[in-house]
Amino acid sequence: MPSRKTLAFHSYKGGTGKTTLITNIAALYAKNGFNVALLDCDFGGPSQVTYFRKKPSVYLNDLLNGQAEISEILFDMTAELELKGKFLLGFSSPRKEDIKEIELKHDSKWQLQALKRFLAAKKELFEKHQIDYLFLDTSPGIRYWSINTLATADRLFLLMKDSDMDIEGTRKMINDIYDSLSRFGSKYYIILNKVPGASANSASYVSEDEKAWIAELERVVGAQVVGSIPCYCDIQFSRHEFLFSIKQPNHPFSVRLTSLAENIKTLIQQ
Amino acid sequence: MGKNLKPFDVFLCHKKSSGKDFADHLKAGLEELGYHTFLDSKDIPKITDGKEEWIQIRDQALRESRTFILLMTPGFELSQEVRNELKLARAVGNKCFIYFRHRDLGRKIIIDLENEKVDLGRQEQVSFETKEELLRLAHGILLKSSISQVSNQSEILKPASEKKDTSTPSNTKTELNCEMCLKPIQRQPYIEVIGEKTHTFDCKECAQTFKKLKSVYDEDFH
Repeated sequence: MPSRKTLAFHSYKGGTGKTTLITNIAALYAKNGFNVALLDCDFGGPSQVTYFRKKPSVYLNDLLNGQAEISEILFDMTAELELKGKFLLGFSSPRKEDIKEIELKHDSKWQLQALKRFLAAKKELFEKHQIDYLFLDTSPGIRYWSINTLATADRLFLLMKDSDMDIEGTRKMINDIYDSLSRFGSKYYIILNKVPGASANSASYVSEDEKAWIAELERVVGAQVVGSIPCYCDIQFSRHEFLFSIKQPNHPFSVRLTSLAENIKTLIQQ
Repeated sequence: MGKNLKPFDVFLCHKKSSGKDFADHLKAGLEELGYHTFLDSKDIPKITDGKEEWIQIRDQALRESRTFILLMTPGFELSQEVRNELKLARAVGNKCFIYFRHRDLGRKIIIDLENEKVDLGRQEQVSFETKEELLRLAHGILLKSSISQVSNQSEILKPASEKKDTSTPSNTKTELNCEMCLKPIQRQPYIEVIGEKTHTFDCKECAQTFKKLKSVYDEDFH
């Protein structure tokens, strides 16, 4: 019986592979028998709808508006993917007017009320739907809903690529946001994605360059690197990567992700 | 009482040298939660005419309070004031007694009230360690007994041997919602003083989320 935890995946910039990683890791947990829910909290740039190619009639946005309960918005993918544990999804609306509404139209009073509804829904996921792990896919950068999402999570995973802009932005976010959150129980870690020059063929081999970069990053940014995923061309340039870790478990990308998922599990049990 | 026309809900009995910090915190927190709470150092004017008037004000507060909270901190049983207050409270009767025992103390303490020796080990006690925990526990008990609305509360913490079934909450129980997730609080509330204000939550997790958001948004987060 795992301790119930909420994991948020975040990044300073878009394009770090956040959605691909969080979705694959969440699915791996469900494959191993854990009950998992994954909510797309990237209200400014929803991507899970496209990733899963679903057309829900109600979205997380409706829950925030007080027009839907969490049970109404959940999409159960357990049977379709033949997973051992539950795999429940909550999509964010890709409609232009919905994105505009949440980002621009509402005042702070509405935002706070929406946050409270979100917290109540989160509690219901654990209590009523018996979820073991809740995964939150956040908006990149420092935005109202990315901060809110991070504040509701126990463990925060910051994804980054090897670029000066990412390193500087990540360091700034740690100073401005993560350190504040960690004073009240949050723990944060870094995941490196699309690492260039890493061995893409051997899943277990970590090159000296990769090791040196991890050590340097831990020193500069001041946070533990929990894993690194090499840049795989077939993933990077695939038109639609879809749950490689489940569909092609022997692919080096899947093997590295499985190892990362294990590392994360060990960390969140601590 | 002069200025204080509203009768007290709660009387705080404590030993000053070891219980003052706890009593001050409890008084401030309970007042903020709407329980009019008597604490001699705060509620008796400094310019009273000697000891006699001081005792008169204190005794009146004690008589009108529906709940008597005894803070069992080191040496409390040796304090003459504590013994006098407990003695009067027992004589007046019709009160809800709550015995909060600091975890540093053993459970079995006999207190000599001159006319009787009371074995507090036989009373139902609630142990605490920090002032925050004390406030949280006190609020939970007061909520359960709904002292502000129900007069029939004298059974709440009687000796275990005499205690009747108090597990059924009063039907006039106050409904409280968590400040963070808005859910009605059905278990013992989680109370924290954050930024000099007392906040009521459904659980520790909600309190932590509140503190996290406050730490990021500061004054913009209400």
